[in-house]
Amino acid sequence: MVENRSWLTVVSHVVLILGVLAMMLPVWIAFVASTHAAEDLMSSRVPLWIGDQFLQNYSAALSSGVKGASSAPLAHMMLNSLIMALSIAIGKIFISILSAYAIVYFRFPLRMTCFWIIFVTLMLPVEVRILPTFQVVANMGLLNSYVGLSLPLIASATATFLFRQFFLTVPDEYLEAARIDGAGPWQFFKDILLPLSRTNIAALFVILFIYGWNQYLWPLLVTTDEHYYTIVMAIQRMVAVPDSEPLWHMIMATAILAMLPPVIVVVSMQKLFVKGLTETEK
Amino acid sequence: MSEVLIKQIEKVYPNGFHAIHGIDVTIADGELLVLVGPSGCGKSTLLRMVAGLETVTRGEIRIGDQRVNELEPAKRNIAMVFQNYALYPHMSCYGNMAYGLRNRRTPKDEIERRVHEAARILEIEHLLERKPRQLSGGQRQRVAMGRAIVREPAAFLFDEPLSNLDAKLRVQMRLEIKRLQRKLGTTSIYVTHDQVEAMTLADRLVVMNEGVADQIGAPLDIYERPRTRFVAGFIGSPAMNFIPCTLAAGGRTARLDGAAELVLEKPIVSASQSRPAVLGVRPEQLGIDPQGTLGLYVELVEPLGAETLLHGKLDGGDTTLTVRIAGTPKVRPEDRLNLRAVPDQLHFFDAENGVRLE
Repeated sequence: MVENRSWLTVVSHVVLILGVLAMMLPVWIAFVASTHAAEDLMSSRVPLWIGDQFLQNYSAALSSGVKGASSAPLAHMMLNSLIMALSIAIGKIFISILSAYAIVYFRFPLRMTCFWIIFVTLMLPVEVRILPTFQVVANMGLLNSYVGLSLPLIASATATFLFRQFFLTVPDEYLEAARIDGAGPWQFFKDILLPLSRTNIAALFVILFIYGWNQYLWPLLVTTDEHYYTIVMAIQRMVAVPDSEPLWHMIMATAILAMLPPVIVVVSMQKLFVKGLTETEK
Repeated sequence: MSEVLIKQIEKVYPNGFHAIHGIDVTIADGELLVLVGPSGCGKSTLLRMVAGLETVTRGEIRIGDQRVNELEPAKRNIAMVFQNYALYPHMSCYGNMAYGLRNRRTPKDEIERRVHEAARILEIEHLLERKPRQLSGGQRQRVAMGRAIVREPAAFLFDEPLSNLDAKLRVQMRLEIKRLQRKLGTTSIYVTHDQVEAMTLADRLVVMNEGVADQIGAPLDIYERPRTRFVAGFIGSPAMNFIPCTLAAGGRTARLDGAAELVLEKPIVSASQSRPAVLGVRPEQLGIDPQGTLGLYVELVEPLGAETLLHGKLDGGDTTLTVRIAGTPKVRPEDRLNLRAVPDQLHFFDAENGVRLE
């Protein structure tokens, strides 16, 4: 039902604007703080307008890192995060689309058992199985490596389940038409199913990239070499510096930098993302 | 060009459901065979078995000189048009039509030639670059047929291809399919539940009922001499009227439930003694006649312009009758009429198993 009452419009806009302010204020303060010198932030008044240290702070953070916390430059840690997030997102999509394809389109013994086993792992998030997983990764000698950072997080019941649900809505006639057209299983997957899943893949990519990027606990456990530190870990390490004041301007600059890639991914894929979540017409 | 042979075909699903009970039919080279029946009668299953989308439980299917029971659909040299067209939504019409040929590694210029040839026949050349969702129902239908034509198959299989179109377009496409099939001379099997479509398209008709081919024959033969009560009721619109009756010994007269008695022109020789039967008479074989022996109490009048349908009850019974009369007779509901049936157009069926009595 579409109502057209002016006071309703005003109220809803006020609510929305308040929501935006509540969301944006902390981000704004973080950004403002990241453009001031360290001393400005030690005084009692929190500055609300951009300072003059923008270039110095960011270039220092990106190139040389933050003293006392970890000496790795942020640029390198962002690269680590990017590698981890991309491997997790792409790996998850790759594995789950293939397993969903197998479960939906092939009749093999214990098919439903396989599905339920995958499904049950939904109940076991990383945090629950973190010790055994760590043990396995350590035994395989994968500590302090990109593989160790991303591989244990790649298996995904959620994505498998989503792709399964999507494949079930694809009309059987496409498969039958493709069979008559002489397409084998692999060709059907590549030529028909993959293009049809395009928007779903995009939506999942956005979600999984952010999931991978924001990983905190797992990288903290498997990395001891600062060469492999991720940027989300770095923020915490900067706050918890022993025997000195935290360098808030640097921390805020790091936080802003850590926020950027997910924002870029969401904004650039927004159109496909929304389509993937809402589109029902095939 | 080749004939399709369906020999003693049976289908039993893994859950034990017996869908097809042994069907035998040969489709001659260039013939258009229509499988018609109500939903669930197994007509689509039979077609899909020919296509290779369902396995064959017993019996044999041959296309041309080759037994195809164990062949993949793509190897059977057939093309199929689906009810919802099943056009790949992300490919252009050209891509849709060319996909099968590409998979068979047909040379590029040959694909190009065949697709354009098919598009020319179907008058869809200007649509080749469009995506299916940008097309109307009729245009999609044409593209789906184009996809079948470019393969130059031994047989076309149509699975209710017109049921997604509106009534007017359906009539138009029906003619077009017939014309196209004549022109190409390709052996075709066509599945439909619409008996008008079946009658107009078919060279020969298979009327199916619960997995059995009740009757196979030319459309008019089936119309004139239905082999079972089911076929009689299914073919023809409006449907045939059925009136319970008793055949007198010798089969020369039939006494209807409403006490009226009919003298038969052609005696039913199989009625050596008096037996219960069902009289079938088509709405168009009944006419208003003051001397007629059938009394009708009119309940509803449907004037259609060129003809008028009268619905009512037969005197002295609960049997409902439909009468089809040319023009617009002056009849109102609650009128009482006398009807006469065309004497040589009466059909009798066994009251028990519905088989035609002669």
